[in-house]
Amino acid sequence: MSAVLRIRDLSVSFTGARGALVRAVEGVSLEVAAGEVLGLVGESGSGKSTVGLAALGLHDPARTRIEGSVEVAGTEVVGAPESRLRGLRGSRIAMVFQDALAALSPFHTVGAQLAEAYRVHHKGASRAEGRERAAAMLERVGIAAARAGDYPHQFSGGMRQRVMIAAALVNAPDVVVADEPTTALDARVQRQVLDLLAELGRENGTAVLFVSHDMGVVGDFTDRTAVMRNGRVVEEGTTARLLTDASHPYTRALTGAAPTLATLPGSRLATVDEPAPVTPPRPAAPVVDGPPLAELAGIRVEFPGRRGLSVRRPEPVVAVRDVSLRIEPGRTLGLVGESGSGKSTTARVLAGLQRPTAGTVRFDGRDVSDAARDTALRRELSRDVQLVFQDPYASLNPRRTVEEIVTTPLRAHTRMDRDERRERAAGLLKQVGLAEDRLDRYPHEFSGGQRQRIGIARALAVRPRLVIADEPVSALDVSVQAQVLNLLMDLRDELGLSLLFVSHDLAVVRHVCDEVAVMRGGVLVESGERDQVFEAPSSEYTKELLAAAY
Amino acid sequence: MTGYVVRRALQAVAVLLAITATAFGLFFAAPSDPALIACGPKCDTGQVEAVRHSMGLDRPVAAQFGDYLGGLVAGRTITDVDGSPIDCPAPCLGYSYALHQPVLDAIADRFPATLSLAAGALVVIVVLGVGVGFTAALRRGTRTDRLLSGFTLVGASVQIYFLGYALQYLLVYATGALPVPGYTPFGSSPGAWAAGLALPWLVLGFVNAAVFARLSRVQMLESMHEGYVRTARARGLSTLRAHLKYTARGAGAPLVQLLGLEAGALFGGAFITETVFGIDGIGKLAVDSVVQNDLPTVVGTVLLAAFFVVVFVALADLLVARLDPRVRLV
Repeated sequence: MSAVLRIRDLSVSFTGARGALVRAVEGVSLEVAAGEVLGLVGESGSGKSTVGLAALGLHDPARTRIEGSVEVAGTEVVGAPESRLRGLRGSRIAMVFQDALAALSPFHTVGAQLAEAYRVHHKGASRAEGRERAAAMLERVGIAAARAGDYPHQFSGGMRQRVMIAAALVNAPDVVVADEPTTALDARVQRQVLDLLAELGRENGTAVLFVSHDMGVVGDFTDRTAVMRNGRVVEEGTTARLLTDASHPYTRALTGAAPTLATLPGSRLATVDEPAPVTPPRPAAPVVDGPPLAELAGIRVEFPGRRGLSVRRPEPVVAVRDVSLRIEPGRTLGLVGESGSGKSTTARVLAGLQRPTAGTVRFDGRDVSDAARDTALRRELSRDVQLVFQDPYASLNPRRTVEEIVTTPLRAHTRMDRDERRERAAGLLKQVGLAEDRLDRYPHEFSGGQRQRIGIARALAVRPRLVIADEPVSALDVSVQAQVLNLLMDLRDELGLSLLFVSHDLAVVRHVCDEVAVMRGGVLVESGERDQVFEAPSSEYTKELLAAAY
Repeated sequence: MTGYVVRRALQAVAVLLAITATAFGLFFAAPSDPALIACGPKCDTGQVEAVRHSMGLDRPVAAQFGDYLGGLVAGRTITDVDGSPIDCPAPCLGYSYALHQPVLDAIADRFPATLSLAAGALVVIVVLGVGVGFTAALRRGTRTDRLLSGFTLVGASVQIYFLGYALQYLLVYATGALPVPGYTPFGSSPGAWAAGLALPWLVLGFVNAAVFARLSRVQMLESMHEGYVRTARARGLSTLRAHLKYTARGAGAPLVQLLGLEAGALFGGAFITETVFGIDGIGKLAVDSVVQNDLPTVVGTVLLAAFFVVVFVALADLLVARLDPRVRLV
């Protein structure tokens, strides 16, 4: 088999601030044959996406220096004039981007975007022909052709990614570069989208360069894999061998970083710094007799519906229906569900940020249902209940120093003076594994994983009794996710914390939690001890979720 | 959509009512006497009182306001200074004793000039502002960018009366390239209409284009980095085409909003430009009426200006919703 994508000795440098060259990719050589799927794996900043963009010649030539060679179906890309690149892009080599909502134009219908992708490379094609091609391609990826007139925001995340795939394949390219195509999707949808991509690739003999940070996904989907770190390929081989018998410790760390349904729950996860951790397994926290720390009883949450033409009050949207949960002292409850299941809303109710339409919230025996409306009550509640958020970029004020961020809860809840607060902040940073001399830095000076540590330090500042972590690791690379999960588990044991852990990732929940509750469409479908839910699930939905998980 | 338009129209009526009431109230609070002005300097106290009575100025403010609103909807009969009745059909904006004509007629006489001036200036603003902004954004960081940005800064900082007189001297009196500026109705001679307004259009447009150029440059630069622009290029579109089709679309909404406000303001009159070029438009009418304490005309022009702002802002919102299907009209 001959390679349709041949990358030889590729180096990419960007012009940084004040003209300094920053090398992002160095001496990378890869080959992908027709019909083959090559995984390109690495952490954020490893240069993997840069390689993908360079294959299409999409870098801004004014700010990028590219050396080496990239051949697409025999045509050299590096140094090629824009006109030749235009002929290749979308025709011989196409790209599926990560976030389809951002990568598709919100202003044009999906049909129009597909038709454009076709007609750019078929100059003689009429509008009607473009429409026909678009409709056929939509049907091929499992979307009714009748929806060609809809806009991207009217589709679900998985459907949008199908549209991206359809647009990439409309001209039957030789190579598709798929850059984290399923990272933001729920496991079930992710599996469907990947199956589709694999099937279409096989059908047309398309070579796929599959860029991802997740070794688990790559393992399922690729024939061969190259592992990148700091701009270089550190290891390359058949995916099966890399998963079981990698020679480079970094590869082994990436492989072991993501918990799977076979990982020993509670064990330390492998990280890049600690590729083979040894810890005794942590047994599930014991069930204690006595009242629960927090309790939701018959919670219902409604949001006002969309206002239409009529004068009548619109039907409310029910986000959560009759949900009851208990969190025992010292235990961790995992709340699992796909997007739109109502799990975050439920967590917000417990935190006193969302008023339940019906039902009671109790914390430590006290009725706190009104906390969302009653500022004084919410303030008292936040003394004991703190939050860790999903997006470490959005949840820290960029204009505050780390010290100010971490000590905000202390200012609100304690009478500590400035020096005492600073001392406490330094202690907290140490506790979450950051150097205490970084108190005066600003959030943008930290990586995503470090920011999440700062968020955790802030949550722990007032020594809360319950921490609510809403998707705390889903915005992070698997290797960083492993570090943060290890930290959360350590802190939990050290401080005897109770934890509500909200996540869409079953393997992560299984690894971290003692009890599990599964939500779907605002309803609690199943709840129980971890082993019971994972080994003998009672609901069909849980079984489906488990089947899709890695 | 229909529901939105109805709600929006009701909103507009409420805004206009509030503005009319405020203008009315402010004028009564001001220390001047319309009756004295209407009657003239030679009137004695008794005559002024008689005029005051015949004008209805001795009635409570609320009643006068009610009469005014009634006239607006159904028309009314107004008593002149000498007691003779004047018929004022709906929409009656009152009668100007200073101009000796119904306010609506005074406005109607001058509106074509303002309409011509504003429409032409808007074209200049859009073409020059957006053109300069987009070009600067596409060539960001280059000498072209700096030159164009400097050019717009000149526009933002220069005064109409300075630029207006300077250009008038250069293009009209020194070289004779253009005729003396002024308003000729389009109907009587389209050529003279355009030639007479060319300079006012340019000056008013240039001065107001600066804001547009700056905003469109910033918006373009922002939406240039959107994922969908990169997708378009990955599809094989040329960079320029990707920017024209996708970046410009992404940058459009705030520009349309600003244009709506600008259009509303210009249609309400452009006093300085009208004065500099001797065009008898709404702007001059409004300022003259304030100077002469001509209450009905003041309220009428204020109402007219507010009407245009409200209408154009609503139109801009509708257009934004057309441009971006994600926008929900609520």
